Amino acid sequence: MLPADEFAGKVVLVTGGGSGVGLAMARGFALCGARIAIASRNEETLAEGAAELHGLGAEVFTVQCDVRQRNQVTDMFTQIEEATGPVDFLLNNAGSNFPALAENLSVNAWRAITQIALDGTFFCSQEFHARRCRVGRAGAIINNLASYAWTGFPGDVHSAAAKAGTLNLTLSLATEWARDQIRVNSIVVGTYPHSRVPNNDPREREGRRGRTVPAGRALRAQELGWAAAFLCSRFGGYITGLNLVVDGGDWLRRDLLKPPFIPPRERKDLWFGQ
Amino acid sequence: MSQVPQDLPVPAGTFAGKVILLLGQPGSTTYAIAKAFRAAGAQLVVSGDGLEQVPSDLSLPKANVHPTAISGLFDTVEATFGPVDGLIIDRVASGCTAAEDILWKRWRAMNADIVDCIFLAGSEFARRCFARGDGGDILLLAAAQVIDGAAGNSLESAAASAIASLIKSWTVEWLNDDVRVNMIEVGLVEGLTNSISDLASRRGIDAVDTVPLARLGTADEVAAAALYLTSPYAAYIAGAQLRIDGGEWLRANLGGAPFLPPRTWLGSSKV
Repeated sequence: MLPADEFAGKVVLVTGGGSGVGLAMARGFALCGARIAIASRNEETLAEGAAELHGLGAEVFTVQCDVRQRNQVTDMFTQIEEATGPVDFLLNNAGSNFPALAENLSVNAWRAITQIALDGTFFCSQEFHARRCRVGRAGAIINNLASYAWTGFPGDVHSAAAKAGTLNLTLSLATEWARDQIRVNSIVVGTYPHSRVPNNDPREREGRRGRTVPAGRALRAQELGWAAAFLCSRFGGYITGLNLVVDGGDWLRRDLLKPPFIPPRERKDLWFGQ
Repeated sequence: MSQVPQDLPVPAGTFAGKVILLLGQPGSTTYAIAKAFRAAGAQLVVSGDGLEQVPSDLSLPKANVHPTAISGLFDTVEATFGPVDGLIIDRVASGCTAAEDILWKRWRAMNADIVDCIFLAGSEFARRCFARGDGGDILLLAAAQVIDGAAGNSLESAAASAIASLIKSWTVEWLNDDVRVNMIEVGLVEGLTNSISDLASRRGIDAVDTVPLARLGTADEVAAAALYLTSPYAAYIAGAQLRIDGGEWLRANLGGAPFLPPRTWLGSSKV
């Protein structure tokens, strides 16, 4: 969509960039000439993602990192800088999720999800900001969100709380770092079935899940890439603190009369409300 | 320091063969949007008063806010260029009047100019899309500063909030028929003279200093967002409120200037 050389000479770091939403966003930057760094805990996932990005002609650097560990985040940025130069854009996408009733959620499970999404986003953002300031250059951050950040989501209290915190980070950091010319925005990712989402079948992208959305279909990978690239580009240069919802109108489906309510603990499928 | 994009965020032919109807108003955003859509290949029809300098393929006077007149406007465009593919309504407005001094006539006039106009034009556009079994895009522009209510802006805030609500309801009603509705909330932008710049000058501050990103936006940046949001590249974005304001709305803090009751600086008749 953007000019093919929009990000020539620029480096984008996508945490959780080896698959799913992160990889979809990375593709959008690869097609505009950026060098891509993808980070993940899983080496196999990184290899698969890198192969796909190489196929687009992109220069790709992979790094294993657990974003919950502050020292690993610092090391990750150092490795990337040595390999590709300073990171210009940070896409905080690392996350994990699974359906669970709040009363059954263990301390470890709670921490696993909230620390990756919220702590990880903060640690990466803090390191990114410090390094941009050190070189005196502008930059942009995109945080991966979901609409349950403000609606809540029974059966997903861990991720919903973490995303709510991340939404708030977007707002606070946008203002704190504006004079450093670091823009901070979020993208709310709608229905995007991919292999790492529980109970989602990517083959059904235009099928069952798609039919629940006003747009009549699920989100396509390239649409995520275009949105992230637009916000980081020159064209989005006056946009900061924005929470851009890319969900085909899904979160707006309020109705005067909804289907009968099934309490979460009585559901056969916790996330799908049945 | 402005960093004005000189080119387009979408390929040059993205809107080739598309007819865009822009209900505009004098100011930099209407001008920049018209220029950008023509550069992206659209046939651009502009309708409004005082828009002689706005680049267009056809310039029409402002239509009366009446179903027949709005329908007639679409008829005129269709007769010349064919069906309208995109409707853009630029109503970036802010005020500086104490609520108790707003006369009923003025309230009615502004609501007609903004809310009634958007309702009539938007619903007429959608009906015509449905009749020919085709989709289309609606994009509405309002002032960011008044969306959530603002002292001295009862009128403009009510209208802008109505727009923000309309885009959500219309999205759920129309998106499945491929009629997409979005909104841009415009902050402090070069070339838009309004009550905010007047207020800054009365208070002896530079409006630029109030923006976290330390500059005014450009009308070209607003136009770039308009191109993106109405393009096929944003097909999954619907019912969205895209705020372009350099972070101006996020300035929460525990201090700030001493609170002055708005009627003391709005020149209220009740002071």
